[in-house]
Amino acid sequence: VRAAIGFALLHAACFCVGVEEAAAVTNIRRPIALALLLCACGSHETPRTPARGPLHTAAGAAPPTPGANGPSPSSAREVIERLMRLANHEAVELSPLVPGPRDPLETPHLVGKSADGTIEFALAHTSVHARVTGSIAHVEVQQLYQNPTANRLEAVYQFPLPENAAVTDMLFRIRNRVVVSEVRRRAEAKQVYEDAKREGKAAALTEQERPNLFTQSVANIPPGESVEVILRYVHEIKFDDGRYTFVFPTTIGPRYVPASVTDAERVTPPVVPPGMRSAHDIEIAVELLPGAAFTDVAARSHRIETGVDAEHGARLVTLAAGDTVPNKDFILGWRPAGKEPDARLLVEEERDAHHFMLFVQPPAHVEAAQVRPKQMVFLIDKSGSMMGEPIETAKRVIKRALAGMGPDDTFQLVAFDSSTEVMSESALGNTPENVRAAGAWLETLSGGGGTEMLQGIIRALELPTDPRRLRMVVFCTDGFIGNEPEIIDYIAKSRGEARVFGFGIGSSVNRYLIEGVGRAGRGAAEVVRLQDPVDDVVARLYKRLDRPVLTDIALSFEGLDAEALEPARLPDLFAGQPLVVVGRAKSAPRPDARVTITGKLGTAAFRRTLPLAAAAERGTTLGTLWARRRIEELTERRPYGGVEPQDQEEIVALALQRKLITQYTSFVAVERELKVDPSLPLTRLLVPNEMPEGVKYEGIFGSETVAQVTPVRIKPGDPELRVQAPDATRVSVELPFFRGGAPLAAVRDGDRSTWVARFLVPSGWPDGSYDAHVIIERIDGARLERTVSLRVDTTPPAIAVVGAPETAQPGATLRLAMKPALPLDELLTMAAAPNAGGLGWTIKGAIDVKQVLVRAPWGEVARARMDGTFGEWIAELHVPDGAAAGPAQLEIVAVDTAGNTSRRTLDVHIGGALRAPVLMGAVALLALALLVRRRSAS
Amino acid sequence: VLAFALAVGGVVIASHRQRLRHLAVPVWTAPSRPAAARPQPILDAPAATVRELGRLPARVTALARGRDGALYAGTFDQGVFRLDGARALPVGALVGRERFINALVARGDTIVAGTYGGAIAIDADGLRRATHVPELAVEALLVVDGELLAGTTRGVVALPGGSIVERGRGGEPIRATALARSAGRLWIGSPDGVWSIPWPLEGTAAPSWHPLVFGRPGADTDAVTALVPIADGVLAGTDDGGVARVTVDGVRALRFAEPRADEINPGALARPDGAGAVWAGTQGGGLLQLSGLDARDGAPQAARPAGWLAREVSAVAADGGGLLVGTAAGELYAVD
Repeated sequence: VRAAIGFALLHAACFCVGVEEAAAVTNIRRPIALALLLCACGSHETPRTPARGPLHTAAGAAPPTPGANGPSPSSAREVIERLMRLANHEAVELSPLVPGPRDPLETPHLVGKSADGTIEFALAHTSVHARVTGSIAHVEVQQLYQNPTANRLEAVYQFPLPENAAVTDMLFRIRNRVVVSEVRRRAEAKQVYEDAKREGKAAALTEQERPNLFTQSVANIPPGESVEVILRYVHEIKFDDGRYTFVFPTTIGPRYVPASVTDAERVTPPVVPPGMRSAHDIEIAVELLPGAAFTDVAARSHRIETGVDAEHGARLVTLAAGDTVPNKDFILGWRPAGKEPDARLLVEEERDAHHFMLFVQPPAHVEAAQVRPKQMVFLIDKSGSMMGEPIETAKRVIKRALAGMGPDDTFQLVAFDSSTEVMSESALGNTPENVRAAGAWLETLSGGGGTEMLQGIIRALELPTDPRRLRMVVFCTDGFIGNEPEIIDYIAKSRGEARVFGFGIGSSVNRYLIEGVGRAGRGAAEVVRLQDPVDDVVARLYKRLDRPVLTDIALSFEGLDAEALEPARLPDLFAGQPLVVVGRAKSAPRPDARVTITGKLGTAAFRRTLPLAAAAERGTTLGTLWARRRIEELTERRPYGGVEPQDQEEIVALALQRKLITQYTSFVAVERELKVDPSLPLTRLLVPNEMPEGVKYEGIFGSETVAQVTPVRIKPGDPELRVQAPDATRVSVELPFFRGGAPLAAVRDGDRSTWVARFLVPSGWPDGSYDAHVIIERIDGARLERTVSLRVDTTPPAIAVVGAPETAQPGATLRLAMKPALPLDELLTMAAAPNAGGLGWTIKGAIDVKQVLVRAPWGEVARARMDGTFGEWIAELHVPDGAAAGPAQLEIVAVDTAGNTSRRTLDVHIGGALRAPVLMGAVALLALALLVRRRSAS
Repeated sequence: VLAFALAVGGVVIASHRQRLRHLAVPVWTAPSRPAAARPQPILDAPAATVRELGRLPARVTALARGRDGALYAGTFDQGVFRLDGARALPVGALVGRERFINALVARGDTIVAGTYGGAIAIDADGLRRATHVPELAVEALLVVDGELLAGTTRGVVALPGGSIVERGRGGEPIRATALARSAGRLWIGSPDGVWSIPWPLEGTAAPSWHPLVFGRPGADTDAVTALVPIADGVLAGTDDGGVARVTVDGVRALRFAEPRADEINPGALARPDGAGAVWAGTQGGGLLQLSGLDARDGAPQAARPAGWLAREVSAVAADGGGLLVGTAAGELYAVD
């Protein structure tokens, strides 16, 4: 005991005070203290410090060098430190000031439950470092995962990236080793990952669920250790109205997933409950290169700090301290210093190929068109995720837009959640009364219910068109849905002549959907943050609507043998929008290269030839961006929502060639030497996403999260199972009939909370009561189980007649009283039959009666009613006056709830009323005769 | 003691009287007896010419040919597919209960699907064009005189709106599971037998009820799953009582010698153009060919082409003079 106490004291002393003090305290020799200190420090190494220092590459793996155009090896932390050292660095506040988040230390962190108790979630920190040159950003995202458990850990994190990101690399760092990834077909990559997980090897898998939504899985994080996953991507920066906007999304809004979505669980990560924090913060550092090329740098979303680093020729931007909660998009904007050329060309030579990016500015100042009256259709999402501030912002946008309409414009308002409602079936004129009525109608809307967006869009596009007016659909939503391809596809195919403008409302909108809506609707996309003044947004909308659109655009080149332009079909351009095209060229452009842009400006022909100010360099970035655009085009070129097999193969070939993650290819990395004991239990933690700023938890999940099961009917044939589960992402049903098979997946119906499943009870299945197990997977990662009873009943009901006259007179009412019967001789048969569902329920099924019908020979059919103290079934028949005397057979049919039918007959005598008087007379005569005989005898 | 026991018993009975009302009377033997219909043997029919058209991922519940010649198939819980060569493409962007398909019918350039979530019109591009009665389950569809009728959980509705028949003569609601037009009447199948009204509809007419269980002979059930026109009425398929010949004069049930053949699948009766026979898809008796149905006092015959016993035929539809067949395994065939 003394030795153990002494050893513990020594450890504690070593850990707390260092070698000299420890040696002094415990009075032992210094070398021994040093050795024990090393031991102690080794065993107490804090997992919060990621392993750094010289990297050692895993066997067979290449060192993690960034691409030629990739971000510099410096991390976000180093950029922040560089910025802090700058004398000219300044803090930039938002205007108006956005309330900052609560101090993370004051907010309880989210914890998970495991078999061993309560644990913290695995993602400790996210660090983002972006390097922007021109209109291209190279971004590196580092995610630090820690294992706070005593088991080996698998962490799964679904996270967002920009919708146009081309993810080019993934690697992970464990201890002092760096493991690089390879790109494989998705199923193969998953198999490699699962094999490694089973064998105890550390492994990482990155999969694409949507172009802006990815899943990172990290397996076998050793107990108490950490793993750092690094993702690299490149993307184009949107330029609109003279301003560049760099966006980094930090969280995924909880999505409504209609039944048509087959991968619901992959797009609905758990969400941090109200009042909790996910325990991971984010740091973002952006380098704008060269620093002098940017002006008016400002963030719309966060407080930032910025300064110019003259030594590296860069403007540095970082998040201000205290604004690091990952619950809203980081939006950084700037203007180019000086005038942008009307056309510029960036060319990259890559082995034997040249790729180029062409940036063409349409005419900056165009006269207002001869304004054609518009038929405005405002489509507003009023689902639960829009509850509160988002829907109020949408209302402000629409009211402002209503106020800005022209005198001959008309409008209609359509709102949807689980169902769709329209303010008026016909278009309303722009009169003060109508606008006032529209304002009042808007005020009745509040967020709640599901997001049946497709139904809303169908309704908006189905409204009758007015041939005199241009139809413009303004669609306000946060985009929190899981069936984006279906929506985008529908708009592209069904919009007719209408243009659809996507207005993303909120702090973390689904930009893939919003951009897709604008692109498919040949309109434009805007994001309106909750604090944004709406006047500018609406003014920009009308500026676009009232200016001629440059359509039917075609490009021809001189001095540049361009091919394979992406997009292949050039979009229409509104005022202020540039045309950005990526393509391939067989050779470098000539110095006098020119581009001619032709099209229609309104109804007039447009033609302009511009010299190409070409800049050339070596690298792979433009080839990557070209491949990314090509993949997007192949993905969206789909009949009925699917990708053609040949297009799928082209996507895979491009992705494998250029190392890109797509919906068909994934990155996988496996550490082959370091292993965790595979016999250790594996804890799986889902990393929750923060609820987007301004979104109300109760709007999405409701206040009631308890699941309820409601079977509507049981038999015959095809019962339907309905499950009320307000916050479920997936509901499945294990049926007794299909034991051993896969559970039946229920589909979401109508609103967010109801799930339905349809199934068949197999013929010949024994009668009785069976349990169907309903498994409800909730959006917060929890799993509920409910049981619902299914009663199988194939036994026809027996019916006993407990009261009936033997005879009935013509013209009289024949009253029958009947009760369900339990045939005792059949009990033995029931007991002997296979009664997997229980004898009791079989008997209940046998005596269940729903309807009794009685048919008389004269054609009358009577429906019996349940009546009387003991629940008799009473049927009344009216014997016709002319009914033939004699025996009559009544047919009695009983039907039970399940539809089983039985029949029996009952004999009555019609006209037999005479029999009683005759009998009574005979008895009277007999009695009289006896009386007479007795008197005679006496 | 006896008084106390009686008092307690009385209290117990009084407090559970509602439950006691549903108690059965014990009897020694069942007073019921089966229906009188004599089982009909199923003969062997000559082998039919069969072409396999494709395979779907779910039980086929309905089939229809579009105006452009494309074949559409509705499924038990996976929505509607359009067969494009050997490929089956989902159409209509159906969600939730809309994916539970009960019926399909071609109308003009669209295919209309009867689903648990209403009737949905889908155009040749696979796009949804209209949604009718989304609050109702549509179990049957019929185009008659250019009008689209839907059999729903709340009677028969003329789409896009307008109730034709909602309740029976006694005010009971009619759940319309099948529709057919014949002999100047519109026939409506339901779980409670067959109803009919004169057609074309003149004013308001109370529907006539034709309970199958009271036929000569009667059927073992009133639950109608399918209807097909015959000379003077309709042939009704039932869920486990075989078929019944229904006319305004009466009902004549026909049971089969194989009990599993008595289970006619929903909507699975069809009569190809010019054919004398009616085809029935059954749950356990395969594909049946029924003939001799038109003559009032004729002797109906049932036959089964070779090779069809093992298949659960869940959908049949007339395709001109031919027949389209779908199975519970998702197989699609053309039978000539």
